[in-house]
Amino acid sequence: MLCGVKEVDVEGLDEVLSLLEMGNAARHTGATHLNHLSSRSHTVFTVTLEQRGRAPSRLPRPAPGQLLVSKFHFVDLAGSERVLKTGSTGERLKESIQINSSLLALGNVISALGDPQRRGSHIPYRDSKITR
Amino acid sequence: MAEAFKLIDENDLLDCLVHVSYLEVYKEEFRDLLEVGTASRDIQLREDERGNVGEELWGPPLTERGLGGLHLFGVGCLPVWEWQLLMENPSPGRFCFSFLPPLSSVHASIPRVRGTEVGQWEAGAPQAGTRKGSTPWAWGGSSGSGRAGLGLVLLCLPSWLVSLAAPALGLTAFCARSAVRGEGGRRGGPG
Repeated sequence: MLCGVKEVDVEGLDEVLSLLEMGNAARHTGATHLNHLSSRSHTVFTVTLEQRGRAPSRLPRPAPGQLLVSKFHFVDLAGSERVLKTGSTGERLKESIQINSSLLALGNVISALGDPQRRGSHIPYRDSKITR
Repeated sequence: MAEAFKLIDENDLLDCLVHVSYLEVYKEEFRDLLEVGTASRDIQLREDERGNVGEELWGPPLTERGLGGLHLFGVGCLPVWEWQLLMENPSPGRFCFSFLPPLSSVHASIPRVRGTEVGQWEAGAPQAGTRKGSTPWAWGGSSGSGRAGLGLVLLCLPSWLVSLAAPALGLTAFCARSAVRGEGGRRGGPG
């Protein structure tokens, strides 16, 4: 889990979309041979909903005074790249390496979690920021 | 999302609060897309189930953190001992021991290395004025007082001798308890 991330209160869908666009504008993108606006990073857009019961009600609503917190994570992963096809060099190449490394780490975690023979064994969560 | 907001508007039996955050992972560094000015190091991974985050030791010179410290200046002002007990949170935390350059000018000239990458032990936090577990050097004073413990001095002594023997490296021994900071205020995050 993370600390230090700014959270903005919103009251409607318009505000959510506005913040999403604002964030997209600040996101790292770059041109490659395949995509002139290629995402060079992974992003996580999180919507947190806190519900507090105000009057007695039936479940699953929270009871009065009880707080129910739900989180929705919308994740946009940068795509894996073949350097020969994208023609990445310099900084783009470094970004490609990081993207592919983190996607590999994510794949390894999913494989480890989904393999019944590896149940109880080490899951390599710490290999990348996106899996930690 | 539209459906969610519609349901929230229609439901009078609930007080609902919705907030959003937007995070980017670029080259294994976090960036806050809703506040681009936030430094990557200010976004910290929560490391334990109690909601505490180990703060990286590197950053401004420790003496500028204003949390107290002890300096023993040798001949020629080198080497300098720096130690600090950061007692922002008395809950179990992380103790670190590392070598850091002594002066702020040297801080700037050496590649940034996180103290936690140099070496660390994890242990329960000592109570004020008590000695616990296998971390005698962490025998600390009360919160924020910066009172030195005998165990701390004894532990630092070998490192001090090492730095005396290698002045060209400009290293100083440093041991500290890293800050353990709980989630606070509106600064939270996805997770």
